[in-house]
Amino acid sequence: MDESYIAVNQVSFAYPTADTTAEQIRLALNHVNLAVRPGEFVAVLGMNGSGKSTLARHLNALLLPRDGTVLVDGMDTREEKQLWAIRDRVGMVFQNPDNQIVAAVVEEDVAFGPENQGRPPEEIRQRVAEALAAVGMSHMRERAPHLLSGGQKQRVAIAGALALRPACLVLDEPTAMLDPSGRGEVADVVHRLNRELGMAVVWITHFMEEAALADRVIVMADGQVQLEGPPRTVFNQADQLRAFRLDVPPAVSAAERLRAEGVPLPEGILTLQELVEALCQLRSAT
Amino acid sequence: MPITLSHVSYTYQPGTPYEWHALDDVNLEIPDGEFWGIIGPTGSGKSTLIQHMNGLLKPTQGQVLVDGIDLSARAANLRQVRQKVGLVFQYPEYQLFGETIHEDIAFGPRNMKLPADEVERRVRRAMERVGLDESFRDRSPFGLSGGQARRVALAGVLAMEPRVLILDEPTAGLDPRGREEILSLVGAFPALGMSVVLVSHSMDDVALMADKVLVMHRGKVHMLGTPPELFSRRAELEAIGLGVPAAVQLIDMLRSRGWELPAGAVTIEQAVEAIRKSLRTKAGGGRG
Repeated sequence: MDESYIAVNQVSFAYPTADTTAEQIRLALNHVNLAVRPGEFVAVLGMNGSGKSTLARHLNALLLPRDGTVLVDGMDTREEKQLWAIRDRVGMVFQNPDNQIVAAVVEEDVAFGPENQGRPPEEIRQRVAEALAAVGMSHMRERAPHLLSGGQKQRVAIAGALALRPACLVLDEPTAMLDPSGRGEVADVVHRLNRELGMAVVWITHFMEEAALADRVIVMADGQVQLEGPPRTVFNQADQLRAFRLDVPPAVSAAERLRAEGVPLPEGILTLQELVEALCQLRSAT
Repeated sequence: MPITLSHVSYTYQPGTPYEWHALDDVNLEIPDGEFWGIIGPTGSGKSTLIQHMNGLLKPTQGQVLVDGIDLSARAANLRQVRQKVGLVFQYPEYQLFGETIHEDIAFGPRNMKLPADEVERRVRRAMERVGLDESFRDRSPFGLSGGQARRVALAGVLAMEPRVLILDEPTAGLDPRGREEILSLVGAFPALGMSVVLVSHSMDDVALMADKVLVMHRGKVHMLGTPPELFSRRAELEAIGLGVPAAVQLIDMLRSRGWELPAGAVTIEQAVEAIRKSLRTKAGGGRG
């Protein structure tokens, strides 16, 4: 066994279509390999329709591979008797918080998972308290979810996943519907969970600056992993990213333009802070 | 076709425990042919505000004038106003329903009881404007990519040939190229004589596109100005949970390191230009 917590091996998947006479079935995933190591923060990028969400749904057995295998903590997602053990280990958070909240009170919503598992009330209380504290929502535990802001709702959704004490969180565009402060709130919480609890994170996004903060970036297109590596390496391939309908973070784009204007900046600049340092060095050298 | 709001207030569920003052004494005038951006935290009143601009909501107090027509007047012809002021909601592709793309786009103009050849002309023109070629005409609107579906929805509104187009987060959930495509389409409308009102969470998008930016906060007009004016007031924006574009952050960081850079760069392109000039000045007229 390697050290991966989730191992996706040669996975292919196609959605059923009404048109059974179609000559070729479009594969949403086409022989995908991916390993998520314990405690790792992986960002997944890719144009609409590239297979990102399909891949995410394979990581906790919401979808099952047509070919290939997905192993979570050594368990094959196709084995039905492992289903709940797998879902306890890999929590999912989706784009729209309004579709994920089921209860009329925040703490009841967070308790939904462990209650479903039939855990004793004392333990449920303990887990809910921990989960709400982890996302900074303890003070709102008696609120009605529909009166919360988007960022707060999304944090409640994350707490709901945390109450099952997963080892990995998979978030499918969790900030797409949020305002800037909501986006910041959610990203901060998830990075803290990753850092402090060592939780593995798979973060799917269309925001390049969010992906720049990951340990590793995966770029999907046409159901396949096209690029993979640390953010600095991946975002240095601007032309290729653009060919996949993606972009680069603002600092990379600014550095690229400055280089094109003849400003001799070093390669590999990823953040605004790094760009500022490089520019200041240049300036003091002239 | 200017839109004028005077002393507009709107209260949801008045007289109940859920009473909520979504708009509070809003005054503004959007002149012809301008591109406005509206930003504000969730719950600040942005969506309520734009629904007043085509009569979907009527003010609890105050007056909304569209092209001189008072929308709260009993006799106001709202149907006509809604043809002139097109509103594209968030995730508009969820509202597609036609069997073919052509049918979907033709729905609005047919509803306007226009003659068949005029409907046809408008559908063609709308498809052209959003960059969908003839091959899309008879395809189903379902099973398109996110960006394509959104362009079909946009074409459906454009086929009514509105003079003001209001868009609520038109790029949410799209990949970077999809965002760029929608923005560049929409950016071309003012030159065709259409005013555009764009509600957005993206400071970068607003900085790039808008002539004027309106900041809503707690149901009030909190700030109003050109992008350079507005984004120079960073502390005020951050105080209400908003931010500034990456270009402004970059310029601010350099200034705090002693760079002398002029204010007013709000896009990456403008920031790059300012930095390049500053480097050149330093190199040419430097201490030697």
